[in-house]
Amino acid sequence: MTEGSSSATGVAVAPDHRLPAASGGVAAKDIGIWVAMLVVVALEVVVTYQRPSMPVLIGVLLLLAVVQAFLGLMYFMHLRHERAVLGWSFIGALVFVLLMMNQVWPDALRVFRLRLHD
Amino acid sequence: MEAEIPLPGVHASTIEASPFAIESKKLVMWLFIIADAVTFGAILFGYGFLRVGSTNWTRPFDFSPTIVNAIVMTAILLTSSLTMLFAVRAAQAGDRSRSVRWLGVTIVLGAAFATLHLREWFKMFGEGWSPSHNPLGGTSLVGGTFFGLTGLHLLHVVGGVVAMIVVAAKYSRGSLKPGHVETTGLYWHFVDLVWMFVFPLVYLLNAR
Repeated sequence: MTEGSSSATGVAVAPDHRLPAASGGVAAKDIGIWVAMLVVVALEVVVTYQRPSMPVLIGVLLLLAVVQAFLGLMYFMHLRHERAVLGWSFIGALVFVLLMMNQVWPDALRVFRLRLHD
Repeated sequence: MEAEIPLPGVHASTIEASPFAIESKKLVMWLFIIADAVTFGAILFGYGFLRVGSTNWTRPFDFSPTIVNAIVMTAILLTSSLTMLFAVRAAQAGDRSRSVRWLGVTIVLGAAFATLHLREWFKMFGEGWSPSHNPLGGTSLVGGTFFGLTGLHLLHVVGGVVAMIVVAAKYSRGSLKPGHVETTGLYWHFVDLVWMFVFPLVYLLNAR
């Protein structure tokens, strides 16, 4: 059964992207991505207990989380099988909004700059 | 040039094919995911703001049992994403019974994640933690942000489990199509991805 050819009302809809057909090779690749994400989790824990400075730890943990998000988006959510315009418009907009939220940090840090004057 | 879609009683040139070339339900799910990602992003930024701006923040989590429990929860959620992927592939290959079986495994893993999470919560309640109380003596914002962030994620997990139960039941009876399984899978993978940020930022950064 294929979807994307016609709806219940007989109105044609745009053809949907299909995932690669299930096969031993595809399943092995899926499992490989899953293992890679588990390895990233293990790396996060190991790095945390190496007790680096907080700015370094935050940077490394965020970087590893972004790697996991990339793997999840591309291989589990199949973004790489969709048209490029979907990823660029949706994920691009999301990244832009999240970057704009970084305006809060100077205000959050102000408590450490406050000093009583002599 | 994009193909035009004819509609009964409507001039063909009035409707164009989707530029994303995906079904409307999948497009709506992507829009929901982006909006929800902004919600979680804002809450994570709020957590970061409060943490950076607090002078008496406390780190409540020991490696055992809390971090170990969170690692197990993370592995369960990642595994549930893999089983959901198998369910989607089986559905698209036309193997309905195999797809429903993999959906069943995903439901069990999602329920296991929620159970472990709730067990951790109740253990913390027993130690005196609440959204407005910190038994370690530091700012109560630790509990407020922890229960707020993980609670919102837990709500998504429970909602996903319920949605998968409904989709699996209807898909097994033939009243839903493979596209519905794929759309549900998109949501479940998103819930997994959100946890990939909650785990390091909320648990590991608060490890003692």
